[in-house]
Amino acid sequence: MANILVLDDDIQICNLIKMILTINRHQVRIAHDGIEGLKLYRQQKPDLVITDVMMPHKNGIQIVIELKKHDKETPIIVMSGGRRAITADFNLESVKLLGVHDTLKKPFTDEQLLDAIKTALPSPRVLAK
Amino acid sequence: MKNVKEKRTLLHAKLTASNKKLEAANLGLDLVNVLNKAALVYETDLNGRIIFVNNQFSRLSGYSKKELIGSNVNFTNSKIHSDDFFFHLWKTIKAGNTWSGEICNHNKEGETYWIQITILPIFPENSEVNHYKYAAIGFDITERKKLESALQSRALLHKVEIETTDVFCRISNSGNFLDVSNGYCQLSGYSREELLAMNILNMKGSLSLGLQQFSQLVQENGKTFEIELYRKDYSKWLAEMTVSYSNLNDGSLFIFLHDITEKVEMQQRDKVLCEQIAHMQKMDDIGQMTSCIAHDFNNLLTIILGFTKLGIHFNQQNDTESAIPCLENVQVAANRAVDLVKKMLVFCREDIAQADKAINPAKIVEEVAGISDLLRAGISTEISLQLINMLNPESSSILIDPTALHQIMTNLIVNARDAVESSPHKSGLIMVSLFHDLVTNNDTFCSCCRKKLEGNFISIGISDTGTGIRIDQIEHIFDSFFTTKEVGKGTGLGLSVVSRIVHDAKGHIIVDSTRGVGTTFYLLFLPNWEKAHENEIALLANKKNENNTNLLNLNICVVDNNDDICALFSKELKLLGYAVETFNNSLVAWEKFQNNPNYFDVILTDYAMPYATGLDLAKSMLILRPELLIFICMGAKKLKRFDLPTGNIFLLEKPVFIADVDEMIRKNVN
Repeated sequence: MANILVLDDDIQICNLIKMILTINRHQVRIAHDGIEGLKLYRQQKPDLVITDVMMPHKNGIQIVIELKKHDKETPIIVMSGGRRAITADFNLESVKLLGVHDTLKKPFTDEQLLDAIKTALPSPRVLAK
Repeated sequence: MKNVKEKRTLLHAKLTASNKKLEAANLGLDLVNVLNKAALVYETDLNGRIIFVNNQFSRLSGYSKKELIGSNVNFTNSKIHSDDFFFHLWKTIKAGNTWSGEICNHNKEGETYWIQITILPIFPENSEVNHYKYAAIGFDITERKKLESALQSRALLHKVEIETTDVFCRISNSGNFLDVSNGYCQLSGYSREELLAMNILNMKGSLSLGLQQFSQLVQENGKTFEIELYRKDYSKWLAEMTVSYSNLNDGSLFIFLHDITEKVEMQQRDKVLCEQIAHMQKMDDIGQMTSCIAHDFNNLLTIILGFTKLGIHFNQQNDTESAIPCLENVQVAANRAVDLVKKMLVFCREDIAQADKAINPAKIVEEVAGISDLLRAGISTEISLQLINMLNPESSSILIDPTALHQIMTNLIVNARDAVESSPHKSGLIMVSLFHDLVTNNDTFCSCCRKKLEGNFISIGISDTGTGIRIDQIEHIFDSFFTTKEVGKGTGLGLSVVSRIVHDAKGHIIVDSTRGVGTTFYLLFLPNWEKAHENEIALLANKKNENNTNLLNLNICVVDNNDDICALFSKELKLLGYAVETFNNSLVAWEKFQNNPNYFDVILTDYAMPYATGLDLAKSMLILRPELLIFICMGAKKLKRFDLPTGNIFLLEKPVFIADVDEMIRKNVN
């Protein structure tokens, strides 16, 4: 069981991820924009951050950059459905360069999500804590 | 006796001599008669003013002797000859030498005739210097000339026919066929004889439209046109036509025709192909747009797929309570997708105005600011995108679908970005400005539909410090498929779509561009008055309650040629409790006023109106009722220029708010 912070401006996406992760016994906190996400991050450091790229106020890339400045440990998974004339692949390729652990291309399935979480989290032992 | 004999001899000799003289004179007279029959004769003074003409000249030229004498001989010139020709002629005769040559003249009917003429200077008796007039003798050689030119033209026609397969004819300056090539006969279906009896202006086809068009063709001598012509059997053929003056100096024209029927048909096939390609490009546009909203779509798909799976999962565990919210989530997401598809359809709909008939007024400031913010992300940091707003965000609105507004703003801002990026500095400024624009000068036209613009507009300006548009290109930028961008970098559909959307929303576009300095697109929309005054109406509704005094029995006359403003003012004034009558025509208002000058207590009139201005109206009304309270509404630019007549007359600067008018009425009545 991990403490996971989910950032997406789409409420339904957040709810979906929350539901999937809750069923799989994770603790989930949700933020709908970058600034709110950073606030929640500071309140309690999560085991994993899942963030969208296109978000108001601070986008996913900015979040990744900011988080990586202080915290190289916490794994980050970036989701993207692409944006203005840029494919999702491109978005996700570029965030990998930033040291993101895994990427999820929307639309994704629950298995893909859970697999990504499994790979991103440090080790089963940490989970066992 | 000898003397007598001598005298007789002398007398005889004298007689003989005078007889001889008489004979000679008679002979001369005969000669003159013959000459008069055969030749035209005229005399001019040293400046060319005609002092004598014979009948022949009068007959050939079609002018009476009276008309001819006193006028300058050059008035019959056909303009076929060059200035050099006459310069040389005058140089010769002024030097006292004889000139002869062929001259082409116009007769009174405008037809040309040719004369072979000899002009000689006439000297005073016993002198060989200082000639004092010119005499001219000429012969009519028109027929010969015709034959000659026909021969020349046949030779020329023949040559051209051999050289090209083009169709070719020669016509007189009044349109009669003078000669036709075999090719022309074949193509037109007429025989040579038939054609030679015809006039090109009377033939069915483009030219039959008349002389004006024809003379235009002649004026644009040497240019090539595409025209429609008809064969004898009334089938149509298309020709590329070149008109040029013949070198035969008779005013005739050569018309070269090139049959392009097939070419045009091919072009039309190409055009269909082009349209198909364009459609594909448009689809590609939609594709690009789709990738823009792919983010949203992928989100929705994630939601739909995810919740469906969860729903199935819960259902399998018989956990209906958890399954139902999942299904609801699917429904919400699916509905969001429907909206998204609608937006896409609006994007590619031919008639955007019809996509959503009940268009809500767009709060222009909010929308424009929103789209500018969104686009800022897509623009490199070298380019600064600024928004300058002079409008009231709450009350300024226009009747346009916000999606359409987004689309045109996106298009223009992306264009501006491209223009700045292709400028030498590759950096610069894009400025979006929002302001009220009162167009009053007479030379403001829509750059797209050329309509003359006048009145009050809400204007969106999109300015860039980019490369600018070449003057010759400005008129084309709104054409579909016109693009100056490199291949693959724009479909040339953008501005044509922008123009269509703007015009659908009853707006207009003004393009102001200077090469190397930048470009501004002004989008001019009519303000949505109702909306603009919505707040005021609410305000007035409250005010009414405060103010149930005797003031409110006043009759107000509202005059404005804009019906919307009439309706709005009337609505607002009535809210305050006034009795209102509106006129959209100043003369009708005057009529009504004249019938009963004491009926109205207050006049609220626009200044700029057809028939009579607000000021004219006010002046006339003041004569009948000097104490009348009058308000004239006008644009700020005109305000200062008037000397108002004395009386209760006030100028109000537009936009006029009824709350202010109400206040002024209170102050000034009684």
